[in-house]
Amino acid sequence: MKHNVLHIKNVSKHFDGVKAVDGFSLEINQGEIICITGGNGAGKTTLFNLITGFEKVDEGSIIFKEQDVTKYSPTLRARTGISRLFQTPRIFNHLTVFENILAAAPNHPGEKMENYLLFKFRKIRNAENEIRKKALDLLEFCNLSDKKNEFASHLSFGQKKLLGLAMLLMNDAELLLLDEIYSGVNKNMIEKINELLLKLSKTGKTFLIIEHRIKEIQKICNRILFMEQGKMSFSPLAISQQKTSNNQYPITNTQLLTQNNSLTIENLSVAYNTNTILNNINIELHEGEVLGIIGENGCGKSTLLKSVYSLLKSKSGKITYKETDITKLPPYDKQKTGIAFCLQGGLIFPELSVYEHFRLVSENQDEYSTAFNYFPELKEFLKKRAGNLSGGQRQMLSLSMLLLQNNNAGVWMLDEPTAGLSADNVLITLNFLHEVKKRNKISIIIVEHNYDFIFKMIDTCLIIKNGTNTEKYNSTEFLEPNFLQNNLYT
Amino acid sequence: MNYYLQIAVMLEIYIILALSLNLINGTTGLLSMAQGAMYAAGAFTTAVLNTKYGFNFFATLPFSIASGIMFSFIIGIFAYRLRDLYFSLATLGFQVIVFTIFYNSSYFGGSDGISGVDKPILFGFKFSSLPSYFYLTTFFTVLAILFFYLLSKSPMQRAMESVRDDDLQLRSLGKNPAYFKFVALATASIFSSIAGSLYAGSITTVDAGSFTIDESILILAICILGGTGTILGSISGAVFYSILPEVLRFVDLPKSEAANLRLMIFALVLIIVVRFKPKGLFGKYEA
Repeated sequence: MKHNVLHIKNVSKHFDGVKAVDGFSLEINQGEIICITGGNGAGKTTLFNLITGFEKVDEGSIIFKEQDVTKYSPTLRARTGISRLFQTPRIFNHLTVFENILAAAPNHPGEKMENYLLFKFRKIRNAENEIRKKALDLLEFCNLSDKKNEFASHLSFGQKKLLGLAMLLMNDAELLLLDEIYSGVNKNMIEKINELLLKLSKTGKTFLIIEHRIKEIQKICNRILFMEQGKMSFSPLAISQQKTSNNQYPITNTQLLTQNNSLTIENLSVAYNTNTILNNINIELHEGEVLGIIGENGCGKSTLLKSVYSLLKSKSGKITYKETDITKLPPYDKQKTGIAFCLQGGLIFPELSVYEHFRLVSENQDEYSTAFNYFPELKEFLKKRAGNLSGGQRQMLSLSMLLLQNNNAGVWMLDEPTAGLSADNVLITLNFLHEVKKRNKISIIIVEHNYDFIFKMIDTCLIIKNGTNTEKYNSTEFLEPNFLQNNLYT
Repeated sequence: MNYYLQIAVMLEIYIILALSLNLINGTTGLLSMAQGAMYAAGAFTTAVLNTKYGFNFFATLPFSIASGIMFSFIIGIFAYRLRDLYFSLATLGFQVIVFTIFYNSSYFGGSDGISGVDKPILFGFKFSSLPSYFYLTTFFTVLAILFFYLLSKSPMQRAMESVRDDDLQLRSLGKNPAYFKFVALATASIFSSIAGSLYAGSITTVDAGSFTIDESILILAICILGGTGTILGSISGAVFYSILPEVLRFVDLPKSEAANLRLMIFALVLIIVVRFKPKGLFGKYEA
């Protein structure tokens, strides 16, 4: 018999006078997988915060398993069975990957003082052994077995997301809220995750998922809800639009590239402590070229960009930009020479307003309108605190800061620019990058997992595998249907 | 010989203090400024019970531990929900209050302190000679090292470390960060108050001047120099601080300047270590 697990009754939440969630109601039955989608800033993450108790509800109530949990603290709600994967992965940096999973174990007798005072060491040890066994299986599942004893801070974004999922599974809650589970996760893993979610839902677990990538999520979920301005939108048209636009990005890779070298990376090697991440990376980027970098989770794509920008120390190698050696320049000087970098996850300053962000990068207020041309949503938030922006809006803010900061930039490096963007906004981003490229004749290096998006806009593509890079593939090669199958997953 | 034994006894007391502060400051990531107050709790409990009520040293130990735990409760009432700087400020306030009470109350001997604390007696054996007292402190030091070693392997320490890294995530996993903060503070207070009792038995005179905010900062500096988050770090910090004056004795200095110079050199080394080796000598976390 299916019974009601979660009942959200008319819940509302305001921020600075803006209704983030407005009279939202939803009933979820046990074993259902429900996807919430919608534009950026529609209130999806806020809704999650309300369900998990990190934000207080202004109006309405939340009933979980016939208990009114509206007044419960986040800890208490988690204990009654609601747990959650954060949009930006939250992990324990100073614990190893394995310890992170262990730390998520619920009701561990080894975390209660009375068991130590009463000398119940056998009970603690037995529980610990049991949990260790389960954690090993979870590590195996998330492809993290070889990282078992590394500090979790060394993982890549996608791997942290997977680690977060493993912690949730260890925590064994009944209702799992997953915020953008696919972002930063590669295609193979997405299928594995889908399989697992289906299996778990049959055992009685319930899932509420925020996701923009409808194509993948619709394979497993029972219902797709569309949220708009804090309300549930019932327009089926909106949903079908979402579905189609996901597949139909226009092809924009115009061959602007010249034979002049813009950025050259020679024999770049990077290591964390003794652990070699990248080994002998060689890349030549021509002027006007758009280069896509793809690879498994944790293969070192973000590490590559960060070390090119000097945010990480490289062990050896040489980086030249327009025939000047820039290997040793600190990040701020690299920015001045003409390299711009957009970090993964839309990093912003939460206490500054959007306007202040723009002021940081450009004094010229006339230019701001160019940013609004591409991302009109930001205009509404001009005076608002950036910490209140949603994940996707932050991403847009970082991209527009890139546009404003340096008009003579020759190279843009983008780390997952579409993570957290709704399908419409991915389209906007695509147009944005295309326009920028055409106008300023810049070269772009782009790291992405959203292959639908990336293959439509790049000229060349290379794969990072086992710490080193392959030759560049051109568009006729990577647009072949079996390209990923033959080159990435072998 | 006795001179060196006296240094060794103080060294061991500092090792226990550094180890217990390390649990708060290193593992749990709370910058506590009240270590001197916890230390004082043990020392004054032993001194008062011994001189005024005739308790033997070993009989005072349970009371001294209880007073330490009571202090950690008091800190807890206002500080468990605080983080970072606010926690430090709250503990700093507590340290100042405790010092002021001990310093101004005639019950605790005021500025002169309490003198004439008896040496410990166990089954008729009196630890009056310095070597025997050294064995006593060594016993407690080994006990403390063993305890903190076993703790570091336990699920409890893992939970404390996760408080340090991300208490939001911990809450969303259904665990209460305040509980683990309390366990860390209470455990640390047990060992700091034992160190206090050992100090009272060793010096035999306990006055509030030994437990000022300077003392709290000194223990913190020892922890940071040696490196936070590891047992070896706390031990090496305490060893460095205690050995330093002996090294300085080879440089022929007038006595009046030697004490100041010791602190200055210690501070200089601390600055150099923090600048070039932010994890301390053997630490796990960056300071």
